[in-house]
Amino acid sequence: MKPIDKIIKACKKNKAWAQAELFERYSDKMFGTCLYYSDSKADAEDLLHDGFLQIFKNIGKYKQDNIEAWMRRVFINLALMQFRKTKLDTLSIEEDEVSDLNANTEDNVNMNADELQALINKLPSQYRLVFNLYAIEGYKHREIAEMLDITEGTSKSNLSRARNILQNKLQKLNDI
Amino acid sequence: MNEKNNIDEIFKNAAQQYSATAPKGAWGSIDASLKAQSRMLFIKKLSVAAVISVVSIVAAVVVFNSSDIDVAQLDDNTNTTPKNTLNTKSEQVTDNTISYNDDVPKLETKNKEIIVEANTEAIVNNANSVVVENIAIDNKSEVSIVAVEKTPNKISVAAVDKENNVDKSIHLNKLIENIDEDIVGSESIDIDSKVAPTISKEPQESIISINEKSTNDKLVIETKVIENSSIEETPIQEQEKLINKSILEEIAINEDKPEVTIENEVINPEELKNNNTSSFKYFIGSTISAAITNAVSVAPATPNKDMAVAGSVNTEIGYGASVDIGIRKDNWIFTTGIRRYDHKVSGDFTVNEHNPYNVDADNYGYSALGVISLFNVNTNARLANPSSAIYVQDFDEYSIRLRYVDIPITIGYELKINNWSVIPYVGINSTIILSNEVKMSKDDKIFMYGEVKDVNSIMLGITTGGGLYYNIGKRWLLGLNTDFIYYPSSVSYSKDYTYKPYSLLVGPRVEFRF
Repeated sequence: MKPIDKIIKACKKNKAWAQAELFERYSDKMFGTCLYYSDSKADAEDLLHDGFLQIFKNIGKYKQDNIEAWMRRVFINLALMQFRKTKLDTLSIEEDEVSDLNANTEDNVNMNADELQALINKLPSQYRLVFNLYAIEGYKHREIAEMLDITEGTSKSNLSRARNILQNKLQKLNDI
Repeated sequence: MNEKNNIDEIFKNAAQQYSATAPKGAWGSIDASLKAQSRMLFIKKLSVAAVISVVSIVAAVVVFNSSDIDVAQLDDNTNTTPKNTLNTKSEQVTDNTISYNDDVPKLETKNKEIIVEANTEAIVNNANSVVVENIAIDNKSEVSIVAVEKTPNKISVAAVDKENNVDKSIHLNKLIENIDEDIVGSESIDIDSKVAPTISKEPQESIISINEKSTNDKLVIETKVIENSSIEETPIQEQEKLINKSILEEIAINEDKPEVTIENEVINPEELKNNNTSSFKYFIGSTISAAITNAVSVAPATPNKDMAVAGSVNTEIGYGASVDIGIRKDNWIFTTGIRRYDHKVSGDFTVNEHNPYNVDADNYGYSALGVISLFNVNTNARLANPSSAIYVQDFDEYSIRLRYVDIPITIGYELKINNWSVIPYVGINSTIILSNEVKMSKDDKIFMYGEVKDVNSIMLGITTGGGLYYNIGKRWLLGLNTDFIYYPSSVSYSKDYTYKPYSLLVGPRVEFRF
C-alpha cells in the first residue's frame, strides 16, 4: 500500500493515478459523511462529486497531519454552503416525532450504523445539520450559529428538537 | 443531561465509523470533470500565451512605428539654394540655370523633415542636384522631379493631395521608360484632374524619392537620394527602402526602352503599398510553437486483456520550432523549411490496489508496441531485444514521446490590409521520426523505458495554417502563426497500436524579406 504522504504529494502535482488512489482510499468514508449531511442519496452523490473536485483543487493548501479530517471538513463546508443556498427549508415536524426525553436509549447502542444514519437522514435539514455539527463534529452553538447564519437560540432549539425526534424514533425502533 | 449526552454519543460513534460504498461511476464522473478542468486550464494558458504574444507584437509595432518617421533621411543641404526650380504649374525645366521663385516660403526643419506651409508655393531642392518641387495652390499640387543622366529610367510617381489627410490622397503612378537624353521638362500635377507630374532629367547620378504627408495645414516633404550604382544593382529593393507607409511617391529609373512612354493611371494607395512590400522576392522566417496534440490510443490490449483497461491519457502536449525559407511571386508565397517538434503523450494509470495488473512486458512489447529495448531499473541495464519476460506490476504512469523532424512544402497567399498581412496556406509535409519512446513507471521507479519498433520512420502528412502578421518597416514581419498538422496514417505498423498524431500549433513568428 502506498504511503498516504506520497499520494498527497502526487495529488499536489495533479497526478491522475494519485487522485484515483485517494478516491479509492477515502471515497466510502466520505460518502458516509455525505449521506449524513445530505437530504437524499442523490444529493450525497452530488456532494461526493463536488467534494472530491474541491479536494483535488485545493489539496495544494493542505498542510495538516490528518488528511481524513481535512477532507471531511471540505465535505462539511460544501454541505453548509449548499444549505445556505437553499436555506428556506420548511421545518415541518410531525407531532408524533416529538417525544419526551425519558425514553430509554441504552438499548439503542447496538443499532446498526445504517439504521442510525437513516434516522439522521430523516431529520429536517436544519435540525440535521445542527445535530451533526454539535453532536458529531463537536462545534459550539456560537460557531454553528455563524455557520448556518442563525441565532444561538435557534441552534439550541434545533438541537433539542433533533434530539427529541431521534429519541422518539429510536424508541419506536426499539419497541418494534 | 445524561440522556442528551447518551444520544449524542450514540450518533457520534456511529457517524465516525460510518462509511457507505461510493456509487459506481462516481470516479468516472470525477475523472471526466478533472480532465475537463485540465483542458480548460491548458486552453487558458494557451490563451494567455497568445494574448502575451499579441501584446508583444502590438508593443513592437508601436516601437517600430515611432521610428518610421526617420526612414526618409533627408540631406542636410536640402535648404540650400536650389539649382533647379519651378514656380508655376506649366513651366518647363530645361536646364540647371532656370531662375527660381523669389517667393519660396520659409522652410522649417523638424526631425529631418521639411515642413512647408500648405496652399503656398514650395520649392525644395536637393543638394545632389535633384530637384523636388512641390507647389500647392488651392488644393492643387505640383510635383516636378528632375531625374538624372545615366540612370535607369523607369519612373513611378505618386502625387498627393496635401490639403487633406492621407486617406484622401490621390496617387498617380507614372512610368517613364528610357528618358531621352534631352531634358524632358516639367509638368504640373492637378490633383483633381489627375494629370501626370513632370519628370525631367538632369546630368546627375542620383535618383530621388518623394514622400509627402499632410498634417492639418502643413505639408511635409521628405526626400531621399540614392546613388545610382545601388539602384542599378537592386533597384526594387532600394525603392522599397524609400517608401513611407503613409504616402508613397516613388521613382525608379530604367533604361530598357528607347522611347519615352507615359502611363497615367490612378492606383489605390493600398495597391501601391502592396506592390512595394511584395517586391521582395525571398524571405526567411522562424516560428516557435506550443501545441495541443491528440492522445495516443492508450495502451493496446494484449491477448489476455491485461492492458485493456490500463488507464487514461490525460496529458497531450507538443512544442517545437521551425525555420523556413520561401519565394514570393506577386502575392503568392511558396515555402519550405524544417520543423522540429516533440509530442509527449502521458497516461496515468489508475491501478487498483486490490486488483494489480500483471503485465508481461516482453510479450507486451513485442506483440503490441514492439519495444526493442527495455531499461530495467532493478538491474540498471538496458535489454535490447529482451527475450525473458519482465513482469510489470502495478505501474501508474505511461507515456509516449514522439520526436520528429518535418519538412513542409506549402503554398500561401498574402492578403494585405494596411500594414497587416494575413497569409493562409496549405501544403504537405514529409516527416522523419527521430524517436518514439515509451516509458512505464510507478512512482519514481521506471519499469520500462525504451524505443518502440514497428513504427514508420517516414510519414507523409498534410498541413494547413495561417498567420496574422504586422509589417515592421519594409522587411520584417512579426505575428502570430497557427499550424495544423495531421498524419492520416498511423505512426505504428502494429494493428494493436494506432497513433495518428495531429497537432494544433500556435506561436509567434518573425520573417525577414529580402
